[in-house]
Amino acid sequence: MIELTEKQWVLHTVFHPFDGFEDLRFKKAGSILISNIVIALWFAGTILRENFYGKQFVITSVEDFSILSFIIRTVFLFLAWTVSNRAVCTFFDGEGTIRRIYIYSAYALIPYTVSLYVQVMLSHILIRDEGIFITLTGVIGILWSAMLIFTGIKAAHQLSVSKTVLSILFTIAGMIIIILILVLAAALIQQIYVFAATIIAEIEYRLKY
Amino acid sequence: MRGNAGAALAFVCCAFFLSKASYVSAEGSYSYNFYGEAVPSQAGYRAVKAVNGNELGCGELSQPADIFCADSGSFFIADKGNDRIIEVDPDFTKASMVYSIFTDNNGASFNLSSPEGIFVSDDGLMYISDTGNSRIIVSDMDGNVSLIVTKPDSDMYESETFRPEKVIADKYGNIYAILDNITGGAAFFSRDGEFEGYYGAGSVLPTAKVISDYIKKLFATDKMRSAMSRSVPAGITGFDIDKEGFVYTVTGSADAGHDRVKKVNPAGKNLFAGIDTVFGDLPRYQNSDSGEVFKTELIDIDVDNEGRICCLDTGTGRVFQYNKEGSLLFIMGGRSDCLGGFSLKPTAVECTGERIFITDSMKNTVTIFEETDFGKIVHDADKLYNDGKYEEALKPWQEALRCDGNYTAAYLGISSALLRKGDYRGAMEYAELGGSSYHYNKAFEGYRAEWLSKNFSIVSAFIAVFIILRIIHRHYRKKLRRYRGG
Repeated sequence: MIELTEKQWVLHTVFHPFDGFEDLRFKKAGSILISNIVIALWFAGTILRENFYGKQFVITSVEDFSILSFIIRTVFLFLAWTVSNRAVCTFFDGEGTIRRIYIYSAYALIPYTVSLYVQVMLSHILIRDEGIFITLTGVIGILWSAMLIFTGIKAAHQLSVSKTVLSILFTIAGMIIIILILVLAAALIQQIYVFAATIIAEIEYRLKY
Repeated sequence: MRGNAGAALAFVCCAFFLSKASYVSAEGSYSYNFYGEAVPSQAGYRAVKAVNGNELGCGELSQPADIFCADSGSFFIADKGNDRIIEVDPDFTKASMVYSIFTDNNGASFNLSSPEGIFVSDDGLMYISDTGNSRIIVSDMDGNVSLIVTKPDSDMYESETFRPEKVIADKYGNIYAILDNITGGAAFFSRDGEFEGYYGAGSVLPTAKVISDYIKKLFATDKMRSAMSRSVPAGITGFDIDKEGFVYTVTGSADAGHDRVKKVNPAGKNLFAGIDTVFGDLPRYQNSDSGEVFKTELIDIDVDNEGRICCLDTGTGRVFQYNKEGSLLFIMGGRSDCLGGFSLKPTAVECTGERIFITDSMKNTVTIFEETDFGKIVHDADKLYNDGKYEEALKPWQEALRCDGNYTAAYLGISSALLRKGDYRGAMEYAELGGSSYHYNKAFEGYRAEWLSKNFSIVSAFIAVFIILRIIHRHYRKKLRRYRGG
């Protein structure tokens, strides 16, 4: 069996979509640090693509920039995915730990993250007529990452192909539920806050006069 | 927040521009920038006076419904409440003629009743929609009626009533009329007065309600169906014809971006179908002081000899001027009691290039707007630009920018001029300021080609060195591996 350093494992999983994650699992390799770096790069890449894209394609207004939306679209989404996947896969007898799901999913995102940077770079070199190459880069990145996520989840939980498909669909449903509950909770907390603030204001008013 | 910033900016701009005597800054003058935000702007037109009937020497006007500028320069006003047509001299100082009695072919004379539309053709024929009498009359300048169009006796015509509102005619004498309660488009009559059908009909936007109604109707019985409301397109509220024979229509109740303004070719096709412009105020417009939200309801349209389009909006009392291509030039007017403002019911707009005339049926006046110096600069630049004379347009665009730094079209005009001159860097810079990636792309293409040809030797040398290094590296790696393995 192969002996690889953590850095080499990254390339191994990315370029061996079918058995990379199985090897990774077998060797109990994979690093949280590298996963965190990948997610940070994904986050930065998304911001770059929205705000530092070639002006021949789109001119964005810096005034509308909101970092919160980028956090929600990347980091939050990823955490929701991890939690939801862990919760759902127990139904399917998945044996993946949350650490493993986190690492495998992060590694699977590498092609997409790279495609973001390549797209930004190309957008400064190409003109609109050649924009098809940028689209192509994006499509390749997404498809590649989608495939890696699929094999990654499959390897992490040791599921069959059909069960993996089902579990991914359930995971997405779970993510929607998580977001819904969070929104509800936020609204509730806000109402409680307003209620408390009103009472405090009322008491203060009574005490004063 | 943004409203406050805009107001502050407007104040600063006004303070700045008031110091220059030659540019008049009307208060509250605004325009839309590339991002669709309302930004303070210099006024392109300024209200100079509101003329009433006494000043013209024909007695007070009563609910003037339409105004038209003939080829001779004279103006014709449909004075609805007084049942007459007034001809005003080109200077708009006195009424030169009042038409209220007409004579038909048999020598019998009759009066008009509530005329709501007037059009004068190049060969001197008046087309009047005699709304109260349910007919359209065609008359010469002496009041001799040559044709009377009444309610069509045709299967295509389903309505019980015949109430023509605005009326126009093309150069072949075909008559187009907007009919009250008809949503199928403008009624189209041949030069003999024969009803030929409808022209320039709107379409129904497939909203959720329309789709659900359609599905419901599939399962409904005939009786249920007859009780349901029908989805009909919004009717045309105003139209005009240009020199080339294109008919421009406006639809008051139309949603933004859907058939609000149409340029219809003789085949009935809308040439403004794919245009980016949202005619009238953008939906989000709200007065930051009063909190009042305005909803655009275009009621009349006019095309002048240069092809510029003026739209009158009764919802906000504003007049919007667009260039030939449908890009916004200026916004003027508003709802107020002062000069340059309108009541709830402005009725018609007519533009002669330097001047814009608007009839107001509650104030019973005709308001005259005159082109400002800034307006002239922009119009000159815009005309040169649209004729493809980008380099000649450079100077006026720069002048326009000096007056109004918010004027987006000026940035794009300068960008195009610089591009034509070969100053790609400058063209890119101005395209970015104008917020147009389309113009930026064109400039960038030139810039890139120039850069590549200038630095071709360096780029090719760089690539060659890279390839050589690659080969050497691979060669040594093989050796190294063999060495290690051996």
